[in-house]
Amino acid sequence: MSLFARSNINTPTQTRRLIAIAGNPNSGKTTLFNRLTGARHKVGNYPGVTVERKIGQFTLPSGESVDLVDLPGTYSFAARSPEEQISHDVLIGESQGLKTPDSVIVVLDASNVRRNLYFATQLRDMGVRLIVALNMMDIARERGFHIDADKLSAAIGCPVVPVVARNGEGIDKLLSEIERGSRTDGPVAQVPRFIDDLPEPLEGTVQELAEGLEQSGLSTKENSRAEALWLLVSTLDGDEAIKVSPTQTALAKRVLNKHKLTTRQVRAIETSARYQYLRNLMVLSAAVEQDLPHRVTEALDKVLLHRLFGPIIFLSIMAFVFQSIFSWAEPAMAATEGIVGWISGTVGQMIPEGMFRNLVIDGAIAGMGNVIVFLPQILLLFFFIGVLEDTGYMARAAFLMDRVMAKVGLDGRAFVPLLSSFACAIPGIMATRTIAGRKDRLVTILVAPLMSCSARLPVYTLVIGTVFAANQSVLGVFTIGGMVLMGMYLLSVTAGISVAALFKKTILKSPPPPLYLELPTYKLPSARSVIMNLVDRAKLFIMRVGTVILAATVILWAMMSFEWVPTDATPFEQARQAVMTNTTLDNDSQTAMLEQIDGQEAALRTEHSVGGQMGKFIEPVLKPLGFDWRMSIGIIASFAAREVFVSSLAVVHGVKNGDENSPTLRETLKEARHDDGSTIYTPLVGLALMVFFVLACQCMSTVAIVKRETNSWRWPIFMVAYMTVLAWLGAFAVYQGGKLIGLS
Amino acid sequence: MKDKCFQCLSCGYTGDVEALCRMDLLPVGSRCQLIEIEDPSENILRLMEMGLIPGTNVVIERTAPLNSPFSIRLPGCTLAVRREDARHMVVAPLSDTE
Ligand SMILES: Nc1nc2c(ncn2[C@@H]2O[C@H](COP(=O)(O)OP(=O)(O)OP(=O)(O)O)[C@@H](O)[C@H]2O)c(=O)[nH]1
Repeated sequence: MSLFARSNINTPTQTRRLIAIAGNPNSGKTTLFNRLTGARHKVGNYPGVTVERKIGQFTLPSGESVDLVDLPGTYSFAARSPEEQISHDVLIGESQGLKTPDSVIVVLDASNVRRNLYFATQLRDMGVRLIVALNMMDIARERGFHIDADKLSAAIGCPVVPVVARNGEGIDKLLSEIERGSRTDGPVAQVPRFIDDLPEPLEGTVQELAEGLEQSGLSTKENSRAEALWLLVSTLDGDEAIKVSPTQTALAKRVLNKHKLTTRQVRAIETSARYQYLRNLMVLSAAVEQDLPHRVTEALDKVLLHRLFGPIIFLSIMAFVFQSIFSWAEPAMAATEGIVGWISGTVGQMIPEGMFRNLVIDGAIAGMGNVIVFLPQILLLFFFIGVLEDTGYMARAAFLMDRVMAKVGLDGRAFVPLLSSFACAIPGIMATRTIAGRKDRLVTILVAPLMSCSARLPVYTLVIGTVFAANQSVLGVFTIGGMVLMGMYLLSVTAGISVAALFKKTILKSPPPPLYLELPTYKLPSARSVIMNLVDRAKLFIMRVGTVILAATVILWAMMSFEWVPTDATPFEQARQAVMTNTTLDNDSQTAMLEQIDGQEAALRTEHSVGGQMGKFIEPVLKPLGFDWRMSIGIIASFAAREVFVSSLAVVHGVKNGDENSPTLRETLKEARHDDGSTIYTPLVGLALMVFFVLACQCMSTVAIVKRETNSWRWPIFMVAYMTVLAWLGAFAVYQGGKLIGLS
Repeated sequence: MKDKCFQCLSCGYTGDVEALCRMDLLPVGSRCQLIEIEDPSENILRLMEMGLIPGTNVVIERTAPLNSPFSIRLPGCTLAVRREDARHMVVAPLSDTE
């Protein structure tokens, strides 16, 4: 099957049947989803929340086309976060843009049926039409777990199909069950639903609330008890934004108070009672569970979770991942730049010189280049994350890192995204989706751009090379340049940790991240799933983030090229004429002088541009940090991408083609003087400038990705604001503090 | 061990009360039966939903480098538990033959 989606992926319609797919995390939902829909799916968000929603289509044997939507993987139907509420909303048809599913495929891991049935029976209580996909039958067989699908089916009264989602075994049977789903009512269950016969004190409480709900017309007779239980176990503390109507909440609270129960107590009682109930189901389905450890997993964990080797191996894996996005993506990125350069060249020849050509080349094509250049890093990181997730290693990483990360108040799973952000915050922020808690995830997203990404390196390189004797050695093996660079990375880590801790205590106040973690058995990842995920990520990035980056590049281009103050070109023309007509000069020096004039003209034009004028305008704000208007212009231009700072600085200083290693640019900067004749780029100014770059969020791509991941403009705007303030304060402290103690 | 568990025995435990202890104290490799969970926190409730309910037999598998969390094996799956959560879990140690 082709990896690229056919163009006929439609949005779900009222006429087509809608099937939902649900199940515990790691039960193989994604694999089954991919198996059924292939590339015919689209990734988006559930309305209003940041939870990802996949919708796809597949064809039944009869030729009928049906929609498939995936629900978030959860262990329980009880909703304690907006994420978990989605399952409930989708099933009762309250999710915007989706009708009530006609049936639900619940994926069970056959090697842990009891736990998986817990969730399945909760769904069954809701009165939805279930089709059980008894997945991972290969593993269950191999490990000696038995379950009789027909007996289970008879016991709970819904079709049960043994499948192996990985290789497609049993999928035909599953398809025909889905096909039958809407026509017959299925077998009659031997075992009544859990909700029909509750132990005290649940029974009284649930019944009373159910009657209350029915009377107020909030629920139908068939569903009222299940709805009542769901309300009782779902968060009623009014903390997170669980969107339950106030009437329902009030009713539930009254009943709880009357029976002197709390939400937690009801949950504890429900859990124990439901597991009791499952015992009966297990016996009826002739289920045999082995209490033996999985041999391969046991052997691997001995090493991978070893108290000494475990962390060493983890850090080595991380070093490998980091190295790859840091340096292996480089050739691909260079190639991308080469291709973009080639396209600009070709297109440039086709369009006559002028504003329009500049718009196309420096705006549109450069903008697309700015988008595509991130792809190698994103693909590499998500390749590794996909493999680590699917093998089951990621859970181990969270296990190993939990204690350390919890000290900072972060989730153990925040480690990988944060580390990746040292290469680039874009893939790092995309990788935060493995973090379960909404607030924990937000904190991680907000501090990820503080990690010193590779785009800052050219800035450090230029500044260190300009203001310090970078190669002078200290303490034998080290150099000043190296030490300053390390200082910047240390600052970045310290700032990240402190800001995260601060947010956890203030605006995103939440209890320490919870740890409820399953260490699944190790599995071979499926290439198909990993690749499909890569394609999804790339598409999402290009379509959702790419458009913003493209637009921003064009705007920045316009700012830097439209002149606010007209530039008088006559003096430059005269100077050129003078050089051209001067016969005493040889060719080389003529060219050199012409270039110098070109540079001066470009510098003046930049100074006169909208962006340049803005740089001058904000100079007073940046002056206390030791920055002059040229640096201000560079800072404005670097919002496109930090490394642009280097080339803008070159332009405003009239240096042609200056990069961070160019000796001419360094020399020019070293020679640069204020009007009063003092040096502009002193070591102290350089230091303040670097500190500013460590802490500032000068990256519109990051802003765009945060917008997409948080689904609102609120957080990206907040992020830019706090980081700008932090950067200003940091640079201010360095510059003014340094001056106080007599540095220059 | 002195606490409300062996006074009320609402959990129906009939074994040797003196032998009861808390899960966080058990060494790696030991087996036990979960008897009761005191005052389950939000996090513990989630562990319960994952199958860690009173009556379950548990093997303490291994601990993370800084001693917490540690992993426990239940029939069907392996879970990670923080030590502070394990303090709420009253268990009856089992000998190897049980
Ligand atoms: N042996 C075997 N492995 C499977 C089967 N189905 C899925 N897997 C593997 O199980 C792992 C988890 O599968 P996923 O499809 O990612 O599980 P999921 O339910 O989507 O998990 P979450 O995304 O965490 O909710 C992957 O490594 C799959 O390759 C199966 O039938 N047999």
